[in-house]
Amino acid sequence: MNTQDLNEATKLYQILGNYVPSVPNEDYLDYINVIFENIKESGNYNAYFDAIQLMTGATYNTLTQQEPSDVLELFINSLVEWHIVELVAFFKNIGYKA
Amino acid sequence: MENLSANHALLGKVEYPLVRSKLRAWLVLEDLYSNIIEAAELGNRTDFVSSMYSYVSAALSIPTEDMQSYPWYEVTRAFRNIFAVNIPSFDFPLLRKKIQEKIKEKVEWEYPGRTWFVWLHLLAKNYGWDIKYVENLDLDDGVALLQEILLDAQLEKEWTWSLSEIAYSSDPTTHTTKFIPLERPEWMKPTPKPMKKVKIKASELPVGLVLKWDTDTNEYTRPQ
Repeated sequence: MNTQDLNEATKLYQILGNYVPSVPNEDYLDYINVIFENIKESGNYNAYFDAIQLMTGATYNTLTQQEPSDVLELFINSLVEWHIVELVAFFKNIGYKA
Repeated sequence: MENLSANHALLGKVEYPLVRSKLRAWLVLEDLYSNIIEAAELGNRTDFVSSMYSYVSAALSIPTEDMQSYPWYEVTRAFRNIFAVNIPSFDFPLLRKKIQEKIKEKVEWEYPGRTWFVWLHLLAKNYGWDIKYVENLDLDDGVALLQEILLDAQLEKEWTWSLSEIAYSSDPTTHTTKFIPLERPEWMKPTPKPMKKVKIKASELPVGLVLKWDTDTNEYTRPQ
């Protein structure tokens, strides 16, 4: 797991900011599912891999060699550990341009 | 875990009690807050992060370099609590100006931290106070007094303006003169009142299916 300092958190919001739900949801699974679906719909899979790399420190090659379901699980667990709902709420409230 | 209470900030394992800032410290925080908002609106990560760190570190008197070692949620919770403790008690019109307008107003002789010196200059000149006294003023007192100083100055200008020829335009056809008031700063202008809801007769309503644009879903919906 990478360091969760503010600089990294800001990078994470810059990557995922365009794919987050407009309404906060305390149900992490639902919330993360919407992010995942939004990324899928946009076709920008770089955002998916970039976010996982930033949160975990894993390399792109390592991720692509893993089972897609394992990578998705990593994505979900990492976002939970990074307090994604609170992170998005903070950046939206402060008016950060995603 | 959330911070223990709104009057504390938790960084690492240390709990910092939060006290309301005095005027000078509050002005420093306000300048940093403007920088945070400006950087956020531009999406400038480097400036945003450094301004956030400076804000929290200035309020808690801890070195900025230490801030990187704390998780982001501790820093942002601390920021939120510090901000809440330092909100002025009254809705001063002088402070209603939007950050964007403040940014546009930047002048050639601006430098970081100038706000404090402007306030000190005006308060010291008008009341004869020394630096120590002004910097330790309660922030509500400081803002209220500065607003009165600026108000006095504006009314004085308006009086002088009303005595000058250029304040009047004459219409040679009707032989009348009209007073042109001196423009007031934004914070002195009346706040626009919200539009009144007007009931429309059913007979005057549009015929057919009425749809409303929903900004959340970005599609047309039938009003409830």
